Order: sequence, then structure tokens, then C-alpha cells
Amino acid sequence: MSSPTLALPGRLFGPALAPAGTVVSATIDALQLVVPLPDGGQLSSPLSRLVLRNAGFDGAQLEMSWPQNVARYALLVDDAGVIERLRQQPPAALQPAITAVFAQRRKARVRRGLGLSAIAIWIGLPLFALLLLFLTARPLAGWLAGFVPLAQEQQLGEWVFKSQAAQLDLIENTAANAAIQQIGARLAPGSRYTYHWHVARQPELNAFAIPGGHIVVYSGLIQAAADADELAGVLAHEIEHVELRHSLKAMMRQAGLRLAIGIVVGDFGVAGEAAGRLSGLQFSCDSEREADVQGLARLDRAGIDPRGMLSLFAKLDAQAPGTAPPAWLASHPTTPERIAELRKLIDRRSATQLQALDIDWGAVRASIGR
Amino acid sequence: MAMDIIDYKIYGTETQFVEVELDPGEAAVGEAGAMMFMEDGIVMDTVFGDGSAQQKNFWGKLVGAGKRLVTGESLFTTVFTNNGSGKRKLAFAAPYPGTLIPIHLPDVGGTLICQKDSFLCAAKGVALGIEFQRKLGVGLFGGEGFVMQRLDGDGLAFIHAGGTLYVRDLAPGEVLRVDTGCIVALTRSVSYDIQYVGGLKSALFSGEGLFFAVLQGPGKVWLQSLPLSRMANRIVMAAPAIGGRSSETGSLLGAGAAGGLLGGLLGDDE
Repeated sequence: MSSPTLALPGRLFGPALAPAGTVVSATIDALQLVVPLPDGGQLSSPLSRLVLRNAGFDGAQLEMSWPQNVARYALLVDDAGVIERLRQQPPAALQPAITAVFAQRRKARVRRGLGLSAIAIWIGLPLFALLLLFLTARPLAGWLAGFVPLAQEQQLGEWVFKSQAAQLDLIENTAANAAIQQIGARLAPGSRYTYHWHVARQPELNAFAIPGGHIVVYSGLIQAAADADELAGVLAHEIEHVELRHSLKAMMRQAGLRLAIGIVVGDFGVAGEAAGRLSGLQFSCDSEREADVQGLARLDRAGIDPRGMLSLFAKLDAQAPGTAPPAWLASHPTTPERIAELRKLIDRRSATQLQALDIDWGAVRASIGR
Repeated sequence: MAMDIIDYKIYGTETQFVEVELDPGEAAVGEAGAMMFMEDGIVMDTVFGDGSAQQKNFWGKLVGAGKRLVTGESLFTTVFTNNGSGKRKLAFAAPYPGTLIPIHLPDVGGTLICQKDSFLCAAKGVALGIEFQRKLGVGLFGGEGFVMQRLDGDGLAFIHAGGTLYVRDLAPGEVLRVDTGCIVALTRSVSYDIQYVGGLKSALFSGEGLFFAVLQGPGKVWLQSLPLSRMANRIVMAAPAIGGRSSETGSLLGAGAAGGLLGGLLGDDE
């Protein structure tokens, strides 16, 4: 292979030269490297004495060094184009050295790629696991909830209720308490859960179920209900959340996710606290539908007119048509959709013996004030 | 590109400041917050990006500012221009005890790679950029992280680092092993790598950490005798009010068990 004379612009380092190097335009041919000096002199080295290596801060420069006058001189070539040209047309005597230098570069690139991949995996794997957990959280929590013994669930509910009670303005010993107690007893006869009914002074139309049988009804909901049948509809729905362990599952899911996020991302303080609040427990649409359907059956068994459930839903929908649904429906399927589904079910069911609730609803509403 | 040539004088020994003299129309760029005083006639202007002349368009400025953010500097640079009729002086002060050194960029090949935060001020026209560390091992264990600051141009720049600064010219092939964290600046021709200290005993008990930084010539390097983190660590260790003894990071045992259990008995000699 013929090797023409190649220009090698670079910086020359050596004794009695500037420590930061002197700009030179060297040339290389089949026999030797020639470096003209700024003072008119010239250095040269036969190719056989040149030592090549990757040099510089980023290892992208090519260093050719050689011994001369008991010292060592080095030419650093920075220009990537020049280095590439040298790779393509190397002088025969330099070919093995140049091949070795480029093999080293390739190896460094591969090692860098591997390192970056390892770092990416290191960061990505926990995030991927977190994503996976998010996607499977519901079925996973549902499955795990099956292993929680009843006594444990009740203990948990007790503890949760106690920790929440301080934040709730509970109303006690009123006609309203007695009324929901009475409705509750009608709705859940012979249940494996012992229900504890609570009324909290809160204008929102909301009620929530704590695992193990504590159910909190906001006074706003009682005020909004036209009669006992309407409230019974909501209570039946909440009872189903307990019976079907929706509250337990949702709580386990949330606690699990918080723990997982905490492990992967670190503590996220206030947001975590907010996410853990009970009234913010999110049930899935499926859970809601299940609670609706089962609640309806429960009303039937208790001989309570299920149209009360329907009319309260309609009332809620009418109260806020198109706008944000009331808090207790926020996570639920849209109200009109649920009303339509319930209506279908009510129309289809066989007629049952209705037994009106013997409650003076006016007195109940009056007992908790306006 | 025409660089402004500025005259300067460095005051002090351990806590230094530099006074630069600007001719009419000349300008200097300073790290935000570094200005100590300026004479009447000097106008201060805060610019987005690094204030070098090349970046005219918005995106260029944005990229420049982003780079500054990565190096831990402020998004803005302050440009001090002498709008007066005679020579005017202003001064930039170092933020902590250490040494301030002037570097004439053409003397170092036009480019200087230096530690994050070490830039203090420069003649207007010096471009402040970043240099990414491409070697993962060096980025992780080399003591300077993955991002270093890069000064380009043909003017004068002042950098500052802790303790006493030491300039060393490395001959071709000459190797210097340096404690990680002590490197302040180097020219582009210097190879920067790491090397395992060797031997479990040394790694654990020598107090030098697990790796040395290895610098190989040719080129110039600037080393600091006292990295700020080391001094800060010593101050924290000596301050009972803000809690306990800690040890320099990098030493496996020193940071953990020995710092708490043995450190108190044996006393660190760092």
C-alpha cells in the first residue's frame, strides 16, 4: 500500500517548549514523522520509535510520542478528521499501532455503553417495578385482602376510626343516630361484621365506610335525603363496601403504593399524608357498580323501597348537573349512568313485599339542626 | 474576536480578591455575587447566558444558560463595562479562603477545563461552557463529577480554589496521582483517569478513599491543597452544636463505623 505524506496539525510538547504545547504542523510519511519547530528547526522520528496512545481529557486526541535527546517529545493531534484520515491510510509501519489505538477506543465505547446501560437499568428497574405495581395494585390488593382475618380487619378499622375521629365533628345521641342505627340493623341482619354507625357534622353529601364496619354519614347527606328510604339506599351501598371488603382493599392498595413510592422515590411528606386520608379512598368503578347492585339486592331483602336509592341519586344529579359531582360520588361512575343501570335492575326485579321504615324523618332532620 | 486586555492586581494572602482595571469601553464578566466594589463609571449589566460575544440568538443564550445551570452557576452572568472616560477599577472577591490565580488562556492552548464553581471572573469574550466527563468511572469516583467547567477564549480568566494552589507542568508521559477532589484545572491535553488504591487494607484504612485521580501529561495541571468540602467537613466535626463527628466521604470505613466508633478513640489524622 502506498502511503502518501499526511499532514498532522497538532500541538507539540517536550522539554524547553511551552507547558501547554506549541502549535505545529507536522507531516508523516512511510518512513518518519517530521515536526517543524517555530524557531526554524525541526524534529523528526522514525516511525518505528513512535508510541501511540489515546490522550487528552476526553481521550479523543491521538498522542504520538518518541524519545529524543534523553527527553520525550509528544505530538497531540486533536482534529478528528485528521485522525480519521490516518486510520484510513496508515503508513505501513504504523498500522499495528493505529489498529491497537482504535481497538482501544472501540473498547472504551463498548464499556461506556455497558456502564450507561447498567445505570439506566439501575434507575429504570425500580421505576418499572413501580409502574407494574400501579397496574396490578387492584387485583393484588384484592387477592391479599382475602388473607386478612376478620378479627384483624376489625382491629384495623377500630384503629383507623380512632385516628380519624379527632378530625370528625361527631354527633351523638340524636334521633338521627337512632334512625341510621335502625336502618342499619334492618339492612344487615346476621352479618359477620358488627356495624358501628356514626354521624358527623359536615355539610358535604358524603358517607364513607371504614374496614371492619365503621360507617360515617355526614349530616349533609341526611339533610338531603327526603325520607328514610332514600338514606337507606346510600347506607346499603356503604354496607356493601364493607361486606365486599372494598374499603380494606382500597386501603391496602393505597398503603402499598405509598410504601413502594416511598422506597423508590423517597419520602413525599404532605402529598403522602393527603393520599392517606380516608374520605379520599378511591374505589374503582367496578367496586362502585358492585356495591350498587349488591346494595339494591340488600334493600330488596330488607323490604325497603329501592326507588329511594334512585331518587337520592337523581337528586344529587339534579343538584349539580354537568358540574363536578358531590364528593362522595367523585370517584364513582357518572351519576346518570348509574341511575340508568339501577333503573334497569329495579324494573327487572320481581316484586317483593315492601315494609316501610317506621321513622319520623322530619324529627331526624330537625335533630341534627340545619 | 477581540478580547479585552485587562490589568489586574491580587490582594491578600489567604482570603484574596482581585482588582482589575478597565480601560474605557472594556468589560469583564464576573460570577454572580463575586463583585466586591466598583468605581464610578462602571456599569453593571446582568445578561442571560455567559455574556460571551458568540451567542447572539435566543437559543444560543438559552443553551449557554442551561450549561451554566448544570455547572452549578447562576443562570445569569454579570457584565461590568467601563462607560467612563478614564481607567476604572473594580474588584472580585473569592468566596472562601483559598488562592486566586490568573490564567491567560492563550498560554494554556485557549481552553481550560476547571472544577465546577471555580470560575471567578474573566475578560469579556471568554466563553464559559461545560465539559462532560465521558469516562463513567472518572465521573463517579474521580472527585470532580460528570460535569466540569470549560473556559474558552484568548483573554484572561481568574479561577479560585481552596487552600494553596499548585501549578504543575507535566512532561509527555509523566504521571501524577492526585487525591480525588484536589484537581482544580487542567489543560485539554492532560489525560484524566482513576486508579484503585490497591489492596483492601489501603482501601479501608489509608484514609485516601478507594481511588486516586491519575493525571498523565503532557500538559499543565492546577491542584488545590484544601478542597472546600474537606474544610467544611472539619468545621462541622469541630462544631459540637450542630452534632457529631463525621468524616470525609470516599473512605469506606471512615464514613461509617470507624468515624463513629473508632474515630473518636483513635482520632482522625486527616
